[in-house]
Amino acid sequence: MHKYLINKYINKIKNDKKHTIIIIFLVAITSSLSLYFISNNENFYSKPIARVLSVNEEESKKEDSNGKTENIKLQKIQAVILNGTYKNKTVELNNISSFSQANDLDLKINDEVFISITDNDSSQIKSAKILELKRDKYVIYIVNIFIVLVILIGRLKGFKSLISVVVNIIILLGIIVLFTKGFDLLFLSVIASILFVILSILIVSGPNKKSVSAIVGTLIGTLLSVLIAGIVIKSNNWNGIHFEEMEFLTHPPEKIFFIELIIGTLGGIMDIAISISSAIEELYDKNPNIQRKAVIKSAREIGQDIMGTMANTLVFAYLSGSIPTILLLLRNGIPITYIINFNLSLEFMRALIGSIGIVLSIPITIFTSIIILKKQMIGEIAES
Amino acid sequence: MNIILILLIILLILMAAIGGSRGVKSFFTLILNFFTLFFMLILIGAKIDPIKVTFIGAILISFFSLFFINGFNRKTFSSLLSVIVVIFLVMFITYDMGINSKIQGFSNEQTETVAYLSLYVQLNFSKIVICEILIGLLGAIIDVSISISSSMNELYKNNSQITKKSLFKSGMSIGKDILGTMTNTLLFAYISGFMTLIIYFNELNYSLSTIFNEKVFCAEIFQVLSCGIGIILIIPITAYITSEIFFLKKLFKKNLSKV
Repeated sequence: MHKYLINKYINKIKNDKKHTIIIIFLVAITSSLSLYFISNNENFYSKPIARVLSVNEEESKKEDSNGKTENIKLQKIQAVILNGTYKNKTVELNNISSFSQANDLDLKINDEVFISITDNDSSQIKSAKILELKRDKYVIYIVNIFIVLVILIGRLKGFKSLISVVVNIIILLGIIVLFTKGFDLLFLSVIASILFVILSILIVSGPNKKSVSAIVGTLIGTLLSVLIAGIVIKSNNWNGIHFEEMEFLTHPPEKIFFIELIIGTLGGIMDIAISISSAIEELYDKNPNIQRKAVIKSAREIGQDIMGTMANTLVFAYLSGSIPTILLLLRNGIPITYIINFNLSLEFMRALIGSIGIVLSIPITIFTSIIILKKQMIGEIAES
Repeated sequence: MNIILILLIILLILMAAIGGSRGVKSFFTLILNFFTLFFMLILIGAKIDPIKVTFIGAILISFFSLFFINGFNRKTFSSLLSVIVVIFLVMFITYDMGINSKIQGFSNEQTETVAYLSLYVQLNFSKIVICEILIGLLGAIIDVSISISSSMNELYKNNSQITKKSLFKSGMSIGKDILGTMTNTLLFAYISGFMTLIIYFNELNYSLSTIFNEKVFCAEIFQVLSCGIGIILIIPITAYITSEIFFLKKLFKKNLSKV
């Protein structure tokens, strides 16, 4: 019996190795193909693309209403067109770049930009204007670095995490497509959230009772924290929450924000639920007759270990996106207390609801795991 | 009453009820970290080099999060070292790409919401991209690192015969277990912030190729994936540093007993 288990384990490792080699091979091929494609894809774009050959800069200063001066560069650029009817022609482009670069480009030689061309009847270029930097290659670079590192370090488990990320992104795109076709966003998000939870947990920890208790724990935890959010929001009528950041949408921002809250809360709760349910399974594995009290005590300790750092993770992930806005406001002389109260309210809300979800899901998952995993143990004892 | 305040109080009560005194500590560390971050931004706003401020601030925040909640011991010490190494590495990997891809500041979509402000603020936003990336992944790498090093500590305590190599291997396998759930946590956190923009792109009927070259889109991808790169790098680095530090002490003791 013991030997059989060892053999099984060795076979599993061998199989894993084989899988890993295949995966590494596939990743190497796809990443080199994508890198090749991205550096030669000009002809796939309908918009003209130009590569900067030389830059002539002229410095000037601009004074704003506060009496502060900003260094401005006028860039006169020679660029060669890479695609379309004017391929290989050179054009002159003008560009303005400020020291802050808050909403402009400081172009360098070999940068590629999308341009719009105005031509005359005899198809000669009259003038050309810069539209936007061509950034696709950088996206592909960083995607490749990420995938290669995940596969190299995480191997098969890393590959599984990648699959779950891809599945989740597909679901998300699905909701948004359906939403634009007129389906109700709240309904879609609830369905999608359930799918997100079930698929992610099954992919990461396999089809077993541990996953079931994590799934149930996550769903209850999310429901409860969303309920808390809803009650607090409704009873205070969005007091202190400012939606300026989302004003450019044609849909009511409150509703979309609430759905974002649900989805943002999911990930953290899932993380906690999986950690707690695997820990409880381990406890039952080691000692099937362990007292319920002892299980609760150990699981609570684990929960206390992780909740602080998890809440931290969310706070930094959410606030990092507001850094440019905060700095712009600070430099424009807006008082700090105003920024905290007014401009960060959405981010605070996300981080707080996420953290509340994390803390709440600890007792909930302890409870669901004890019910679901304990039964399994009794069943197994009965069988033997 | 202000919703943020109510939620803060609810969080404090829950943390105290479920986490006891460590929960309360976690809560105040969270608040302290927030103020450290804000102080950093004030310094950057005062035109002090963003990279230096971010680096020192990140070390301070890691210091608070690790030592206040988990005490000063060999596991928190090795986590702190690992976090610093990873911050360096991620900066090294993303620095050139982050600046060359010109994802700094605001996109045309976002400038509408700050239209009443001057965009000429004598502050170079291209370096701030790196600051954003590092702050965004900081919480996550601290989380993964302390999880790995405390599990390794338990293993080491309960099994005095364990070799350095097998301790390292266990650390790696613990890390890989965390990887799956951590990527999800971050993915959903970022997706939830990004949904508004995707819906907006969809309203404007942006083509896929336009979206791929959009400033905000690229900025978001950079942020998420740099985070991912951070959490994948912290796994082997924590496993390595922790096993080295644990055995350093053993070696030291051995030599001492010889003398």
